[in-house]
Amino acid sequence: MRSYQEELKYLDRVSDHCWHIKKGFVDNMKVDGYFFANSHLEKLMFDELRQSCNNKGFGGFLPGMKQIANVAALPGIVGKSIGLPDVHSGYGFAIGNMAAFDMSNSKAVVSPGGVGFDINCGVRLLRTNLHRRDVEPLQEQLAQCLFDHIPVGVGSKGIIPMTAQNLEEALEMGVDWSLREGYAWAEDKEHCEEYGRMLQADPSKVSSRAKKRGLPQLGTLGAGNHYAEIQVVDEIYDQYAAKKMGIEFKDQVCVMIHSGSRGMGHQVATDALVAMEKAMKRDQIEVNDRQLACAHIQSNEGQDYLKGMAAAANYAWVNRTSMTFLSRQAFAKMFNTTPDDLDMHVIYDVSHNIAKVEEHFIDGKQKTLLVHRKGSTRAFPPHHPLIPVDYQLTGQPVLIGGTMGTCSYVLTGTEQGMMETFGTTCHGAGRALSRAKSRRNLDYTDVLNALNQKGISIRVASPKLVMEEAPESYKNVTDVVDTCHAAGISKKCIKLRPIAVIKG
Amino acid sequence: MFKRKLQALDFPDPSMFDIQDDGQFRSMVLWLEDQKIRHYKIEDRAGLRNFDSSNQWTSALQEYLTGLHCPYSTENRRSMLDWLLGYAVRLEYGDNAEKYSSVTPEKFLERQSQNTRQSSNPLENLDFNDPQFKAGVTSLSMMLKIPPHENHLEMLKAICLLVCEKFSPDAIAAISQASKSEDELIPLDQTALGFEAGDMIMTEVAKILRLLHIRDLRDLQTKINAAIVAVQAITANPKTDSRLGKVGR
Amino acid sequence: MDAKNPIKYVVVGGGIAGVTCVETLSVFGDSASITLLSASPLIKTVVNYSKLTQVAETFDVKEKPIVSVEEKNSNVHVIQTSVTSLSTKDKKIYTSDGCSITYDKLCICTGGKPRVIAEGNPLVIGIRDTESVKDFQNKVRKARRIVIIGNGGIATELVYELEGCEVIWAIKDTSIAHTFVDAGAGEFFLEHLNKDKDKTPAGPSKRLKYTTAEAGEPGIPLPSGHDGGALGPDWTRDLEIRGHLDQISHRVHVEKGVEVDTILSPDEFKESGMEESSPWSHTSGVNNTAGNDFLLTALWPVYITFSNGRVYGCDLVVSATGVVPNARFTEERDGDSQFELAEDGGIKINSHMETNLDSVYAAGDVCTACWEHSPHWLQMRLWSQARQMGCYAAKCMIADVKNEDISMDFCFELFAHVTTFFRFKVVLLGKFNGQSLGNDYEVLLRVTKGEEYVKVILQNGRLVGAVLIGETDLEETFENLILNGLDLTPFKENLLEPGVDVEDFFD
Repeated sequence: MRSYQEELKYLDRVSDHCWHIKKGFVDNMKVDGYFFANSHLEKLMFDELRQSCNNKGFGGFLPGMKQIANVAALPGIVGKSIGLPDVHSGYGFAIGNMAAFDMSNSKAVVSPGGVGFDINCGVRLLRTNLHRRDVEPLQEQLAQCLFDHIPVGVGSKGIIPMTAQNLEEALEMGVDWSLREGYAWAEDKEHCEEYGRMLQADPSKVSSRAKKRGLPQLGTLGAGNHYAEIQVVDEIYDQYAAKKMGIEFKDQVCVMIHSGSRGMGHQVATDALVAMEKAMKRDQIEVNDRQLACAHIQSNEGQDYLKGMAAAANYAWVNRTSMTFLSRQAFAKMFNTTPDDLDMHVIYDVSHNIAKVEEHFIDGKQKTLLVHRKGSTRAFPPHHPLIPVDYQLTGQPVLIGGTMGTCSYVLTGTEQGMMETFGTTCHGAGRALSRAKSRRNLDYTDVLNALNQKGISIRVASPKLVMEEAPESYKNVTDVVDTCHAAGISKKCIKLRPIAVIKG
Repeated sequence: MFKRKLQALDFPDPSMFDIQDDGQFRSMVLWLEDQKIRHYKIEDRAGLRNFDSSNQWTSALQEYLTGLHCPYSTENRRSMLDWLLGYAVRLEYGDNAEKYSSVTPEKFLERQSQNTRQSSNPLENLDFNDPQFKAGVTSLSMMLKIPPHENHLEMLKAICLLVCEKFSPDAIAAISQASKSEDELIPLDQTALGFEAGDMIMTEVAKILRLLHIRDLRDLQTKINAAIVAVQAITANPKTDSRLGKVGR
Repeated sequence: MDAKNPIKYVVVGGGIAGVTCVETLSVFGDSASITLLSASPLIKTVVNYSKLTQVAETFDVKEKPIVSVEEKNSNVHVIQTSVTSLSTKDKKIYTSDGCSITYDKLCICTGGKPRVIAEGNPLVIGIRDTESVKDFQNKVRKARRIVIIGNGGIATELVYELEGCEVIWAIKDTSIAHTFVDAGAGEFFLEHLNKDKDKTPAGPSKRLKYTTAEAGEPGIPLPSGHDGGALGPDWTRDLEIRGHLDQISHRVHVEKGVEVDTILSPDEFKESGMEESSPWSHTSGVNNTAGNDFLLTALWPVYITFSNGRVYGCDLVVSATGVVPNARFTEERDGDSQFELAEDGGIKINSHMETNLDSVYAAGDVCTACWEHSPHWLQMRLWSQARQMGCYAAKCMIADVKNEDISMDFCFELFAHVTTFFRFKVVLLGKFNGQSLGNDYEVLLRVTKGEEYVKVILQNGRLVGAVLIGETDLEETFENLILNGLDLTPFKENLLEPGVDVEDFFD
């Protein structure tokens, strides 16, 4: 095990906002690693590395830099393994890590850890033509009304009835299912990544247990970092792009929905991890970290996962679309008008946890790649054929949810991001609470005395990652967004601030 | 509709004919009988002349059609009239068979060129190769800021397109409408092209092409959306049950 | 199911299970005829239902007059009556007012009866339903000291809600709230026992709450001695329970590991020659103020003696020692059938909620789930399970009528319960106390005094249960980890490392 000082030899500053992880930082690196950070964020990254060195590793949890480097050691990776400014520890891949694999290389892999458990977790932003003044007097009732509409009633008992047959269709069709059933507007589809439907989805590749977990959750928000927020426009940085999104004035009211595929995604990911662990032995795939279970893209396991993942992604779109439908109903009811008259259009819908086949240029050559984006967002530049016609001139809108209750941002994709990060940028804040928790006074004496049961091993958590002089040590969304803007991998457009939060 | 047949019969202003208009339809039938078919004697044509009573006129027409052995009835107005026109053309041809059979493609072209020269339309009498005409086209293009082209006739086409797009009554109405709705102006210099096109002019051109392409795409997307909405009208069934949720609180 | 001769569903019991069953039947049962028999003029309905995680749910319970069910569900008919016996041969049930009702499918949701010690003593109250709460509220106004017996949810909540009098809390276990949480968590709660009740609203309320508004409406006679539905969760909300002593908020003494020996009147107490014990000499930090001296001198209206020999006088004894399933019909007259009961006295049901009797189902507290449980599920007689069973029973009845297959609802895959103790959110998942795991498991623990208590049960490196107290935000992650069955061996105690966002890590 190397010392912290030795580790530092493998790290080079590229620019004010970018660091280089050289080959050799971990074994078998096939490409270099890079991560984006400003001075505050980079301190967190280095602290984390130092803590890990001091603790001689940290069972199961690797520092973000090590995770980025381990991904760079996966077979078939091309270009570089990239950590976005909000990168932090995750299962297999760090949250905020993107990596692309060459589809034409038979050894190239797909890894469920590179997508995450909550497949197609994402953010959708709806605009309204309301002003904060219109909403303020009704704020409480409106929040209540949204709360009543959104997570209440699920599965076959829910507001949006779902049978097992419906679920199969939804898994196959994504937003098209919602359109067919009349829960979505035609215009919603054009403002979703992938038009809200991954065509390779195959519901038969989704286990019945996954479906069982998915069925009762449709149209629900979920707990943790999932939320729906009523927000107002706090600042507009790019008038023209904002206008293209229908954002015309400060204090304009928007609705942000942050949710994913929830239990279904978890089961699809878990099923794939189990299947791939076996396939790895068979195909002799070696990885640095057991959490990086993967399979050759063209293998049965790889294909099954991609098809199941796509189905779970479609489920997540149906989920966000259902909540859009319910939000529109709630607003219409509160303002006694129609969602149409409130101009409640979808500005955009982004995916955070997904793997997609895309065309990119590597050393001037066009290549078909399988791009893993975990805790990161696609950010395509202006004129890219895969972004909606309305955003052809501005670049793809990127929706950045803050930690619940803090500010959120809308960015746009840039040409530089396309070249440097495979058209990828950050996805949000690192979570706020953890460091605060680590300073808590953990005291077990009384409790352990009381728990003194025979024969049962009790392990207590004690803070190992004590951050030195890091008063505000979480990854603040503003820091993250500013870094992406300064590094040029996306451009700030709008800042939003919440006025009411609905949590599942 | 029927334009070519009407033209052959020298019907005045054939493009204006509207078969759905009862008055025009009746006049047409009467005109055909009066001028071309002449199946009845003049005094027997009173029934067809009686436009005031719809029922009586229709029964007169039915009788007339029976007399002509027309296979279509009055209900099938379009087919019936087509047949009637064809019948009239046949009669017209029969009357002047020699004259028409002498027409060969060569003679037609010759006559066409003669016709243009002799046409009463002053435009058709223009000599397009006249230097004065060329000069006029050039000055018009300068006024309209249309870039020059070596073939002045191509330039004239461009001028026509521009005039139709920008100065037709519809276009002018659309512009005044649009100026009210704050139509967006896209500043070309602030628009990113996304690739290097060499020199500034090529860049501008490429940008313009991109913008035109985006406009076409938008039209296409709008049509797609309209198609989705049309399908939704059939399939949509939001079975939301407000009883179960708290929707109707 | 033709319109002239609709399927007749009959549901007995106006509690959560019964009403949920009826509502579900009403929605999915097409044109069936549905009859609800309620012993009480008030029924319980679920409001503010929301899913906390996939299976953990929270809801409030609202009491409404029985007609409200008919208003809400047009194909439901509600009768206020008690069932006395059942004939499966004739497919009829008989009621106390001498009527008989035929059924095609019958669901028994008669709940449980509170176990009451010293029944008949007016100074010993059993708390189980709204009626008994109101009775209690009246009696407590003059009380200076109350003895609470029992260690379940109601007792735990009552101890916290009760203000303005001394409380002696007698529990048979060695730690408080033992029905739900382990001794460690009991210890975690213990320090909050004698703190002043927190009167501030619990943070910015994410949703408005209902209160039991119509319960005491004039014009609705409250019959006594009938078996009304059980209390709902959050029954203490907006319900001020105050004793006679204005100057104190909480003064609680816990008497651990005891059972009640006898209950004595003042005369009996004098005759017995026993000496009254003083609770406060054992509890440090709580002093008798001069104004309370009378507590020691006067004779109490009732005395209670415990198995450890201690004797306390008090104004009132509250018995909250749980319920027994209300599984027997009172009379055999006209009936020809009785249920097969499980060891705990509940009606045995199979995975389709069927009892041993043909076309008779049971749901809620009255039944005992005798199917092979999922590895992460266990039965507890809770509001949440009553609702789930009521809903699932209805679906099973419909599936049976339509001759369709039905697979067990996902909520029986994983035990999940959410409640509030001492103003802390308490989430219980899976085998949260290592139930039925023997000694073959490990415990991971993270505790911050006054903030949170997180306990995780691991078996073979896999998460099988968790107790989450406080705003931990971990419930969905842990639920997913239990259901995923992911091998967590490499993480072990680091799973609860406060510097790691485990909920984000598994995103």
